[in-house]
Amino acid sequence: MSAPASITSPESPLLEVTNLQTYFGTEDGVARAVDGVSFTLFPRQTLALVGESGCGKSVTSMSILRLVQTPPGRYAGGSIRYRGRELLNLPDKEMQKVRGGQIAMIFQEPMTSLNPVFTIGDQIIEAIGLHQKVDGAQAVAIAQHALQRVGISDPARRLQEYPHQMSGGMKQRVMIAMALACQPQVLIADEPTTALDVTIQAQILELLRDLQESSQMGILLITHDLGVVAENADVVAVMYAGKIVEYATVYELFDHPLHPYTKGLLACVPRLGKEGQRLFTIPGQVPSPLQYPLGCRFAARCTECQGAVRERELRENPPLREVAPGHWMATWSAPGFADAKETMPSLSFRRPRVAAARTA
Amino acid sequence: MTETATPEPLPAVGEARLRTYWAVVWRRFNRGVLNRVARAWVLVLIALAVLVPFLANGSPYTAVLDGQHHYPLLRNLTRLDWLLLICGALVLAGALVHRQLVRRHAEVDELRSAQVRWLAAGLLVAAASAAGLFGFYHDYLDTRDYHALQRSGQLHEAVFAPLPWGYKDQEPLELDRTFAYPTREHFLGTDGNGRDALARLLWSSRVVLAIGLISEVIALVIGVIYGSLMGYFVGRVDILGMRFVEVVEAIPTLFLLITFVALYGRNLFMLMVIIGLTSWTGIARFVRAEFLRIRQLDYVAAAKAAGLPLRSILFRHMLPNGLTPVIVTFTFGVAGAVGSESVLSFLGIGVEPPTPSWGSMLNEAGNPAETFRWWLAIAPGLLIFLTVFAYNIIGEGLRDAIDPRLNKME
Amino acid sequence: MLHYILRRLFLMVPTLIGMTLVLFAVVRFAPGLTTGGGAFGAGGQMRNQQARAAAEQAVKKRLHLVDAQGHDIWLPMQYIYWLNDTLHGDFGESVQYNLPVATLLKERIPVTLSINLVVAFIVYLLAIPGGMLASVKRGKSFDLFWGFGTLALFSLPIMWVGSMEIGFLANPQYLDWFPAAGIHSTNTMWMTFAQYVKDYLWHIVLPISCLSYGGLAFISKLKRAAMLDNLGQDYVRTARAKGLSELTIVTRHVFRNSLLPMITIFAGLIPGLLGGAVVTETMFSIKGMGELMLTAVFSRDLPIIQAEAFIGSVISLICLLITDICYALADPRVSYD
Repeated sequence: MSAPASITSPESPLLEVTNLQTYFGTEDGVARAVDGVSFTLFPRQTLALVGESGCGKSVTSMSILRLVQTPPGRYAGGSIRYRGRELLNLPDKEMQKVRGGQIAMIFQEPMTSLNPVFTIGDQIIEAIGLHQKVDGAQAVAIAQHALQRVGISDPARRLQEYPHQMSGGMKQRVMIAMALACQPQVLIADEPTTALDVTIQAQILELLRDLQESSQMGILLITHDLGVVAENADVVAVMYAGKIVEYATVYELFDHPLHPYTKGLLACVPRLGKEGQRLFTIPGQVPSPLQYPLGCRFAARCTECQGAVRERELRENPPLREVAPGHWMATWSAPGFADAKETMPSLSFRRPRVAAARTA
Repeated sequence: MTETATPEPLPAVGEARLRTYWAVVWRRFNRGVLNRVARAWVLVLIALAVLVPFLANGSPYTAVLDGQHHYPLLRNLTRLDWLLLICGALVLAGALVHRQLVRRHAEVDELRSAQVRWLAAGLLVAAASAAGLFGFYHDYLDTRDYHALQRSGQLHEAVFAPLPWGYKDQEPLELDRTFAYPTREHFLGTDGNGRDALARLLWSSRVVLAIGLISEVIALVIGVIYGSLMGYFVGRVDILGMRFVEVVEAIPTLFLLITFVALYGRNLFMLMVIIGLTSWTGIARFVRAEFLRIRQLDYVAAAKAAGLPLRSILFRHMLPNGLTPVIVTFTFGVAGAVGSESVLSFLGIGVEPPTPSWGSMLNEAGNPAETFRWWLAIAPGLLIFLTVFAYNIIGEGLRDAIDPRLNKME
Repeated sequence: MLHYILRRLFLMVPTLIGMTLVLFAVVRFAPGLTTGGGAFGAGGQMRNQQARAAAEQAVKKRLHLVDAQGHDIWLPMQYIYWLNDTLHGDFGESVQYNLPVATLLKERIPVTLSINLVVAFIVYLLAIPGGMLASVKRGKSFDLFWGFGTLALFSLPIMWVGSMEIGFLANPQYLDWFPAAGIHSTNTMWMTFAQYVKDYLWHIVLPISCLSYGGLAFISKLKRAAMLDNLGQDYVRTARAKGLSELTIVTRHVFRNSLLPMITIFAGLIPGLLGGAVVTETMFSIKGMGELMLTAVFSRDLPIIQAEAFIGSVISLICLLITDICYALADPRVSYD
């Protein structure tokens, strides 16, 4: 299935992840890194997956492309459907065609994500050659065009350079160019700006927004930075200890956070202008994926749930339910939780975009 | 899906409770079957080295000569034999004491101070006995040939050691028992001088272990001092120092060894020093690398900002941690030293006769192109192989125990 | 590139000087340098006290310990004179053979070097695929047995292997497949070139097998470690995410990166082989550098010993230079200026 990028109907989802479970076998037991995660990505949409380090968001993103090392990891359950096709049981050769051609991924550390002994031209053209039937000259032209699209000047010369001759920001742009050279439908961006400084961060994110506009691509953005989420996301899924605890549009989440963890995360962001504030932290630590507690995994650090609700929290892990239209969360204490249904989290919302001025 | 939240209960007593770094490493090391086998082999060798005078000796335990009871074997034990016995006993006692201490002390600090006290006591005892032995005890020079006495019927009620030959005892020339094929009397035959091959094999363990360990210790001392000086002073000292390291590494090792031996002689001590002098560079590099790495760390900068002198940071905090890769290099170095010694002895420029060494026994087996006396060649070579192999296994096992990520699937 | 080579050469000069200093010092301060039997030609057999003293003086003059008038020369100048002689190829005369050492070396060095180069070639040829295979099948039984096997091979003492080979494979009493001595048969004069080559190869099978197994074990371990190290790198993850097959990733990306340590190790391989050559040549009666070194020790032929140590070190440094250049060619991160 290597059809050229076509525009699917805006309401049919690109990626449907249902109850994904990815476990790792270690010498100390089974680590349940992803323990029942569900979300839906639509075309031209940016879904942000937010959470602390160790909550399983990176493993989720790697699982979509089946990049997890399968010993010791294994896909223990759930399904990942890309445009209706189940990915988890796809044969390897088919999966290789999906990777890069249909779903592309960029990673956190641009400094080490490129092979140091090959030129970037070699590496980009290698990607192009995998997914498109073009000859040498055409491939070079596509590569140059890709570099230009990401804002790298003098692309012909850059293609001859080696990764160590470039800065971090430039390398991340090269990664993006390489990922997009084959016009994928989905881009998974795993903390693409964490390793870069703030000004470059802004540039890269703006670049991604622009590219999304022109290509109808869906972006799965993994991050722990709420600022990035607020600026770039359409839909947000908050992850904690291997599960999604809240799922809503970005406006809804920031205006009406419901889960205590989300509220805690938002409270951690320091606000300008408030004097004499102590920086807020959520007390406690993320539980180890080797030994998740019985019941709600956030309960140990939760300051909200009290009394009978707390009893329930400690005994039984709350499932993810749609407590309000378009707003899913997982706490027994939410109003209307008892009547809410466990539906598949799916929002085709897109925030209104301001047409960006094209900077060459 | 419900999960249980019970962590595995910690064992109540014993070493398993200890969570210190080395205890964890040791436990991981012992999980490997191969590691345990190699460790057992090394312990057997050490036990052999200590106890060999009682196992293979030309003097009988007791005998009646000229109507009098004699105890030749015990009387003929040298100072070295006694010292090794005492040290062996101390080490055994130390192991038992260690087990008890771990059982009784829950806190690491308490444990450490108790360990230090006992260690000091043990060292004191060892030093005192060494002093006493070398000061007051004299080796008894017994020139009697007990086998000849037995043959001539003068010796009665003689109780010999399990293997009634020492490493020097030769069959008399008239019996013409040189290069004998294995018999019940000589399990592995005899060498060119009529000496029992098995006895020499067993006695070689001392030479081999001594050279292996001591030369590597010398290399360790030189390497640690050299490396830490380079890492501490950096700048010109470091540049010059590395040049010298490169010079030493540039000269092919065996050539250097041969040159030294040719020029400076080949007594046992010289050999240990020479082998040590050619193998310190790896350790020096490691120590230097650790020092350089730690200088960069944030906590060093913080400590300096707080006013701590660099010297105390480097030597109190870094040296203990920096020695971790050194232990692995040390173990491999011992394997290499054993190998080097056997090569030198085989070439004829190692230990001097009649001191037995597996390498020289290979040499004494004669030129295989002529008469191939395989029974004399197989055993020493096999033992060299097993010993070097055991040390290499331990080295790799330690390396994997210290950093299991390097080998496992993670 | 030429600039780079020149710079590396320039940097090698201090090492060379240091090495000569070490060698000079080691020999100069040896006990019995001028007097010991057969040392530097003093010929200790002379009984007459005067004759012996005169001979000793002659030796001292030749070694530049004293000048023509018999006065002692300042130590650093002794070094300069010695260095001068050495760089001119004057290593003195061998006491055993009564030939200039340089002549002897000229005969022997090609023998040893040719064997060593063949061994190095074989080692790389076998070790690289072996290491790659083991790294790809990591954790499975192939890898475990392979790891055990290489460690065992590495621990085998070379003289034992040689003894066993000669004793069983070259011995009319058992299997007489290979010759036990030398690198040529005695009737090479009547052979055609093809036969000559075949004869040579037949002779060197056993010595080469002796020399190569250790290097094979070591280098394939290194290759495996380098492969595993690279397999865990981020760029491999990127390559997978691009859609490359495992096979392409391993044979193109990882292989290329893991070659770098293979190049670095070459600097140590040849010098290591020189050491092994001493044993192998002695056992197989091959007239090479190693055998010369050993016989020199027994006859206390110090000129040869000193010259051998020097040449061995020079060969080492040349290998180091070659390694540096190859590494610079292979790794684009190394800058040429």
